[in-house]
Amino acid sequence: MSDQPAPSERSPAATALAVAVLLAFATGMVAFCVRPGEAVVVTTFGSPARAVTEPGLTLKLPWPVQAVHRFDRRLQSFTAPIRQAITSDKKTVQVELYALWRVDDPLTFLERDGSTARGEEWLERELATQLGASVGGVTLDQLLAAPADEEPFGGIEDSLTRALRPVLAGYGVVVEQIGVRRLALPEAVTAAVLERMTAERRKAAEELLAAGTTEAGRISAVAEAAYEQTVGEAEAEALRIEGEAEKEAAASYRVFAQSPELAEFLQEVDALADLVDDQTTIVIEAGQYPGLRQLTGGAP
Amino acid sequence: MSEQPQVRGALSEALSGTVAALRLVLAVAVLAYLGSGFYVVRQHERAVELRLGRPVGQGERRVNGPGLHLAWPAPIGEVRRVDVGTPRTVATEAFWYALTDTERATGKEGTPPATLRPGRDGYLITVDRNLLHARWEASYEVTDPVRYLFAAGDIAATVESALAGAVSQAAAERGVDAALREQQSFRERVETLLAARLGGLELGLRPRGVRLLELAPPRQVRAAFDQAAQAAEQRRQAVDEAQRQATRRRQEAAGEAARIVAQARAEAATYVQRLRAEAERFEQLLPEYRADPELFRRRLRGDARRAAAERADLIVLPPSGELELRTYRQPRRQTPVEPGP
Repeated sequence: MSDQPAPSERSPAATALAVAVLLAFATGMVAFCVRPGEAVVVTTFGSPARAVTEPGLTLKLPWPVQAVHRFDRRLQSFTAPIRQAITSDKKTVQVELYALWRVDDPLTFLERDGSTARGEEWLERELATQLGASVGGVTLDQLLAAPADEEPFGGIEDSLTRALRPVLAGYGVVVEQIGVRRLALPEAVTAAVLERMTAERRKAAEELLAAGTTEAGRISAVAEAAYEQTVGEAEAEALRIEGEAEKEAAASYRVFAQSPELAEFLQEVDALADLVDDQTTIVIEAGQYPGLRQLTGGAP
Repeated sequence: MSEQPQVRGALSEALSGTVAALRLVLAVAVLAYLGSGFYVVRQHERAVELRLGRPVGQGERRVNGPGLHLAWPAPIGEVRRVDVGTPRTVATEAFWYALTDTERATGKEGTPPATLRPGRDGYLITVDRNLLHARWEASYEVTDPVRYLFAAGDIAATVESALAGAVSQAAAERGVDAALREQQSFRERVETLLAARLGGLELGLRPRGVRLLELAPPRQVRAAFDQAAQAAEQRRQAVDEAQRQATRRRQEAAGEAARIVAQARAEAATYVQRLRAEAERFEQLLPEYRADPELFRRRLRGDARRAAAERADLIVLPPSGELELRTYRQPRRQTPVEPGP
């Protein structure tokens, strides 16, 4: 028995380790960490005592006196099931909404037995309740048309957000944004819309072909008119040039006036020269020219 | 009895060896635990160090860049990494139609149903109440790692919802033809609306842009759209052809006008010059003509006949007999005809 090590002879390292483990365990009993994006509610014997949202180490009384409940305070995205609603002009439309929300008041959220799944249930229920009222305040035209300078979708995103904020505040939840993911028409209506789209496209095709023919004809007509105008202007210019030439020729005609007979005779001679060229064949009867009788054997 | 000390010694020796081995294992474990605080941040990463749940550092120093860093080991310290080098993308299928299992398996689309089923077949509604299918993708980059890590539970789902809302809104601002033709403008509008929807949420990201992956009319009306597109192409071709012909006609007009004017100028010049020449010749011949008009006429007429006879072919007919003449449309050189018997 005397060979066994006494407690005082134990290794200092082992002692330090044991102390560290004990300290960690004790700290775990009386302290907890809060991370960014997280909220912790401390309850004393089940009663909510305080909420901690600042990241860091926080003290509490050991279990079973105090317990901690952790919640995700980060922004959550929720897509509600597509729902039918009726516009103010009695048209049926399908609306799919999304909501961006977060836990805002952890104490209230805990009192409402909140969780992410429960939060989505509340949102779905409240959106379904408010959707009818919001859509019922706008016409189908206002809902489907979203001019760039106006509130989109007839302003139902804003009206839903305004309506849901006070309601969901009672659950400890804040809604950051409610938006329209997509709009749809009732299934039966889509058949009619598709038929109309087909008819419109076919009509558009016919109109396009007709417009092409018309436009091409107009272009050709304009081009032809331009052609006629250009050529007409050229012919007018040619007449003007001819007139100028006639003016210049007048001086020459005055020369011919000295002897009109000679001028006429010279014109005849020139005409003969112009008339007969190397493609001309002259047929004459030998009897008319005595000098040619030899060609016909001396017959008269 | 003498064996007892020997057994005791052997046991003591074995116990000492075991304790030494345990000490070594413990020392290694302690060292490994303390060493676990070292961590490496790669080039495209940023890291945020938490100490007892609280981010370490202030401002920009809360984010650790690439390199070797030392943090407290868990559970005191915790390191969260985020990839900031690779842009992230989120696509939405909210506006595309549903395929059947067979279509999905074979990759071939069958005859579409006559209707679009709400909730299953997604589509956009344009301002003129036409329907379009579309696939969109948004990309974003992390600008604030701390916010990005702790601001939202599911960043991708948040961006996808905002993208779907922006796309629905942008589609409701334009007609179907504008959406199909002016896709750049459509895309830019979606970018603007997406930035507005994400702007106030402080998610620690910056949208980089959106891509329109596919945009098409519903399958049920695609043939009619193709027909209209074909008609538009035919219209364009007809107009282009007319414009080409018009251009050619204008060029012809310019050429014809130039020819007419040039011909008129040439003819005018020839006319004037010829008259001048004739006037000069007239003045030269006038004294001779006045001296003896008859002789003058006879001489010039004779000269003209000789010149004509030299140029032209001459057919001399016998005083009696017949001659058959055949004429051709195109003038041909005639050979002298043998006189008939």
